[in-house]
Amino acid sequence: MTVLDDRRVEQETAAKPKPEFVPMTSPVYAEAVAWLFEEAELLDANDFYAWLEKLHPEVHYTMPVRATVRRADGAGVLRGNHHFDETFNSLSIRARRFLEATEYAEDPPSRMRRFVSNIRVRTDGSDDLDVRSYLLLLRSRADSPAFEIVCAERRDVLRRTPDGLRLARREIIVDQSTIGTVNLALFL
Amino acid sequence: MLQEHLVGTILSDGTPLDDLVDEQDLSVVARVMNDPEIYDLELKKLFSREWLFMGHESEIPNKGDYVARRMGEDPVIVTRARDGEIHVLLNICSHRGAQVCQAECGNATTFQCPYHGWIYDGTGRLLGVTAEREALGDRLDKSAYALQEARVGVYHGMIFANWDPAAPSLEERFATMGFYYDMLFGLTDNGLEVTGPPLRWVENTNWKFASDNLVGDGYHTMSVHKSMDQLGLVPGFADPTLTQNVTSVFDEATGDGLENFGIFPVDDSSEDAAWEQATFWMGLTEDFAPQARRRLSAQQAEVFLKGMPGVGNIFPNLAWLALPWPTGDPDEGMSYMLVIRLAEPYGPEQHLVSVWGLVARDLDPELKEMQRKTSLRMFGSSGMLEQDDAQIWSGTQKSIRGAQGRNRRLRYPLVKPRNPDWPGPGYARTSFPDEMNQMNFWRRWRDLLNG
Repeated sequence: MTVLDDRRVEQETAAKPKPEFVPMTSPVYAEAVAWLFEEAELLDANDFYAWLEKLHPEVHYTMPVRATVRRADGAGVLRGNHHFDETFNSLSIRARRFLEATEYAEDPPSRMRRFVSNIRVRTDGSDDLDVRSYLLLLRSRADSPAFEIVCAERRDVLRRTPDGLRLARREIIVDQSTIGTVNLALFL
Repeated sequence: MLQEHLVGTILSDGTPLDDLVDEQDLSVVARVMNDPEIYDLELKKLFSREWLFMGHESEIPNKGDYVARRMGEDPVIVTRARDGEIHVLLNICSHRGAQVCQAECGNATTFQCPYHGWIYDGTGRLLGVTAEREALGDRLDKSAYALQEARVGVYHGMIFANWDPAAPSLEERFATMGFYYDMLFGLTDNGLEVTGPPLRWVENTNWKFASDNLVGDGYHTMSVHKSMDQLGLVPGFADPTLTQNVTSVFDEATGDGLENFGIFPVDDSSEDAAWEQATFWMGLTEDFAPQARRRLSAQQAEVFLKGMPGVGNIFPNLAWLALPWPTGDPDEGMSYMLVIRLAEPYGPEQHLVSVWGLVARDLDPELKEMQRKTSLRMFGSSGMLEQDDAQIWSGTQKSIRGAQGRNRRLRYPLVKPRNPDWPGPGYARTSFPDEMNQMNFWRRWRDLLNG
């Protein structure tokens, strides 16, 4: 798990050719924004089965560990382990657990609101849009007036399919090294 | 004022600590979970005297590697110094108390305090002082200014530290229950490694909710975790008849407890087949069977071939789970998880959770990756098992704040007879479920706070 190993991974990621920014005035940009806002609406409404329909069957959904490291050691994104490392099937099981099984983490459900901003869309002309956004999740649980907060950047690949854009890859770069909510019984 | 009598500790409201843990009534007064005075006693008498888990050797494989950890509420640096040895150093400059290390992991040959620039090496030795001649002339005895260092021991790759020079050695500490831990952490010649850095979060519950649960509360699984059965992940998980071959064991001297799961069928047509099957249930492939067979004693084998240790707690706060388990994706199928979960004190009503996955170092990389995913999907911050426990404990924590609640008794009425034929050490019962491991945890906890 050494920091140096992690830097190697980051360098590999950075070595990929950078696609061009899609201008904010482009219909493609608007399409990506609408996709993210619709996704937030579905998740905030606990409509997880509808959310799953927005995912590509080969989706890879990860959330690496974040750590405080010296500046020289990089951004402290430790990809040696993850809070989430999910496939379509494992996300489906999680959704089914919330909606159909006996579970206590989210029943009664917390009230969640996802604020999505700072959306940047890049493309290299292929079927994949590289979409990065900031996510601020406010989670209100039981009778506590204090919100639990998850703040992250999401690095997504939205793939164009005959059925519209589908999420093919999501990496959640969380800002907290110690997660600031009691559990991740939620989707980011 | 807190008084310490020969009879034991008396709390400032006049309550003897002994009254909080009642072995006859099989109960514990709920204030043990939220009383600030008791919490402070724990930091002084328990977390300053017991062997505490710091991390795994594989997190700091190279000279100069370090991770920042805690002992109780004290920040420490766990280093692999230039001598190759592991050191655990209080992260407080001997000069004026500043943190000498601000990162939580990295590689460094020295730690320089940012305040006045004093420099220490990875063993805690003070190497140099800024403007030493001008500031102190030749009066400074550097050897008197080393970083405070804890005793360190490594057990099956797991690093433990202890502030108490009078505590028994780590070998003595594991002398009895090591019989079982060998099966978890010592089956293979090349040992284990972490699946990556720990997953870390804070739960709004006292640290002892986790120890109390994982030391032997198999009873709760039928209720809290019945979703595993409902989702078809672990069919029969909530079925009490399946657990008839579970043996619960506690150790009076250490406070440790575990459950041994004799529920996985072992092919006993031949000895080779039995070993292959048993090591398979521990997440290993058949080529590891000869190693396991060589490494375990005949007496250990007698336990191991009938059922493996599945869940338990190393006192005070290092819980572990070792179970064959589905990955959570039906297409990926069955895997295995070996998880250690540290519940560190973080104030009377919170605890800091760190979860590591462990895998056999020599295992096939693809199987390691499957086991890593299984661990995080089931027992990490997003873990489908962990989530529900956290919710229930935090509900109790909230409920016991009031004048009535804090004096309610948490009850442990499930008592079962000792199994006289059990081949392993400790006090064993093969009549699941019971709550005797928990009462033993509380007994040990009380004795330490009385001491």
